[in-house]
Amino acid sequence: MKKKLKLNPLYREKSQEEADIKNESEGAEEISQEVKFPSHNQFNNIKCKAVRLQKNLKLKKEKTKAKKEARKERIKSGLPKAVPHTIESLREKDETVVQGDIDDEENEEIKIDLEHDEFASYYKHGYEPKVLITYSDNPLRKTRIFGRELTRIIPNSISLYRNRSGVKKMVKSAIARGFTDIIVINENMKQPNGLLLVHLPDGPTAHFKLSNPKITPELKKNYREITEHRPEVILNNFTTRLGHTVSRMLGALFHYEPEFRGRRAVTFHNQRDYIFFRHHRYEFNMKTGKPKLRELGPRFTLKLRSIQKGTFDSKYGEYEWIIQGRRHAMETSRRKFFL
Amino acid sequence: MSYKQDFNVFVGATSGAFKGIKITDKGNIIKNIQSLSSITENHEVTAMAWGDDDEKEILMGCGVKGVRSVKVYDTEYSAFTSSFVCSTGEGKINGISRYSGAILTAVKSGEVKLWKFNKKEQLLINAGANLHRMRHSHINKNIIATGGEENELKLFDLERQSRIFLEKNVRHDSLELRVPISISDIGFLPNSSNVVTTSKYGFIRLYDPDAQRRPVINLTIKDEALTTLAIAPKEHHIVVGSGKGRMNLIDLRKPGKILNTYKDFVGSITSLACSAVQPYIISTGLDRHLRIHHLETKKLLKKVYLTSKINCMVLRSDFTMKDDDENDKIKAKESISTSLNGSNRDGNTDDNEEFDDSEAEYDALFDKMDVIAHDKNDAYLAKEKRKLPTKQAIIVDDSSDSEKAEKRPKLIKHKTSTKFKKEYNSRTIK
Repeated sequence: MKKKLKLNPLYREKSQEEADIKNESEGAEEISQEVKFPSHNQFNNIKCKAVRLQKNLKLKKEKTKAKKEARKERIKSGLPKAVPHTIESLREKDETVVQGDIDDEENEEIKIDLEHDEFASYYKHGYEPKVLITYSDNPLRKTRIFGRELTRIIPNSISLYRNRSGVKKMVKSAIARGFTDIIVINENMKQPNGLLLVHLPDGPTAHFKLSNPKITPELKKNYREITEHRPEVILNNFTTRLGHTVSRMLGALFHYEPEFRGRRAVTFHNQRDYIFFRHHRYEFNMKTGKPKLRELGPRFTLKLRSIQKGTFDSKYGEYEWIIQGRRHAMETSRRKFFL
Repeated sequence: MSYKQDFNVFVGATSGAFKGIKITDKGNIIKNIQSLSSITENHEVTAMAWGDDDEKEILMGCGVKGVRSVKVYDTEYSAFTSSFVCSTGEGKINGISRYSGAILTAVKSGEVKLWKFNKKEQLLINAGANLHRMRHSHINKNIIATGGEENELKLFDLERQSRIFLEKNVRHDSLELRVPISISDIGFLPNSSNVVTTSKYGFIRLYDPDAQRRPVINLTIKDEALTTLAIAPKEHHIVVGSGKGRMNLIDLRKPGKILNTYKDFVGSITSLACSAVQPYIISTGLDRHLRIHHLETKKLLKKVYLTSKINCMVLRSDFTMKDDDENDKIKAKESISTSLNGSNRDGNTDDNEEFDDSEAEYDALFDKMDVIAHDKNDAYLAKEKRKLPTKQAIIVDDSSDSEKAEKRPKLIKHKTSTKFKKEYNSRTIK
């Protein structure tokens, strides 16, 4: 292969060719014996920034176009879609993963376990959740807005300032007032960065790291768009036994009977142990039957740090799962996931 | 004995499941003894213990709120033989054992009751509210120990029906503040009257009821809420487990030392047990796993997923991971060696032939030796007593229980044990 250093920047045929080669390889999945060179941008030697940018954009557009065409061709020829190797699809085997349906015979014990855990009465529609949302001391603007927006998402929830009260004290008084869950949002550097979820009255307590919080103004949305209807909850991709506990915990925050009129959907999607939260309003296209989504915000990402038996007692409590202090021992591989 | 070959570990789960597990090198057999469909709402297994020394029956305390029940499972016939409702006090059953044919239960509100058939003979002890643990001494069957949250360690004599020991809290700390009490588990050290406790606040305390009310040894593991302990098959050693999943070997010889840390836990350790014949530590936890660690090498030998959160466990004291036929061989070998010795020995044993031989050789050597204590007159002994009070104390301890000790000069026996240990250690390193 020739070096492309001195190529005329306006010379285009070559790139077209390359794209064609790509098409072929994608379509037929041939393993080429050709030596692969590191990617080299042929426009790098253009001095004029504006022209360079223009060229790059054009090339990018062409590439995506070629990709699209290749896909169309593949669909036409009826070839099956190739499954890409990701660290998720190559996930390390975990014996605690719940295989098959929960009603299967081999999962009977898990079913019994779930039927007798702390959320059993919620999933039997025994009570309506009532949630208290509170903050670390002196929350600043973004955290306050974040909490208030959560109250709009979670039905029957109120946001209160903490007034320098301790979590253990709050747990006591919240039980007395009939709350079923407490959410404490922690803040650092003006950003919400932690979320403590306490299920009442007997626990468990989960502590999450909260990252990438985006409140509605940051997404250029209006919080008024969020209606008062009770949302549908989608808990996605929680596979292990621990994942099931976490998903049950998150699910038990919302009312068990969604109001479908509101067409609101709340999603907790687990991917590589990060739980992504999204909030949408959906609409079905009557002709095609396909749904349209409109994100309402806010959005954030959770990562489990610990889950504890009983209500909050971080120092002397009994942990069901904790990663603190043993990350090197537990995170043995990039392909190992816990949820 | 066939029932001993069946399951070697039994566990009780928070969901109410009761399982028997047979662990061998080749594979594990896990069976739900309590049928899953019969489990009801209030079924959590909170306490488990062997009912007798032969390890034939298992006593179980079930239930947390409201009605709590006691069940007896017979491993010989593999069936539940009896059950009754524990109606005294409130809260879960925190300790269960058998005393003179009747079942003894301790509940959270502090009532310790002996359930005799004849109501007049029933015994009720109030051990104070927030009781966390009741343990029955293996050495002296009349003694039980209780303790809990702001509930001091108490020893009761069931025969005399009286309290024989009450702990005194340690001195105030450097800020002149009271040190809180929260006993999470109690253990009786073999060959002595010493009692060891672990605390939610990370204290490990050794009490000598004959000497003083305050602890003789007070160790602290910082920022760990200790949940359970087990007596290790090493002299004056225990194993402790914590709520964050830390497991340590503790040396309780003065001044006390925290030794090995065993790894691989992701959640709280709820129950610990040690095998008497092999240097294994078996632990169960809220992370739904049963783990077997090697006592000396700290290696994780086995990890078994048990589907439910495990609350308690009982282990056959002759637990090995060898298969049955191999087990029989070991037993045969043991019986030969014991016949050579003329007495039963317990503690660390190894299946190695060479090892057994050397042990027998040693024994023969010491049998031939003259007994030193008999040569000296009493005055000399008294002198020595004054000189070496500590060593003498050890001798007294040794002679108090074993028949073997009578035959042998005691001081030398002590030496042998160290030599024995040295060799043992060198073996394990190889």
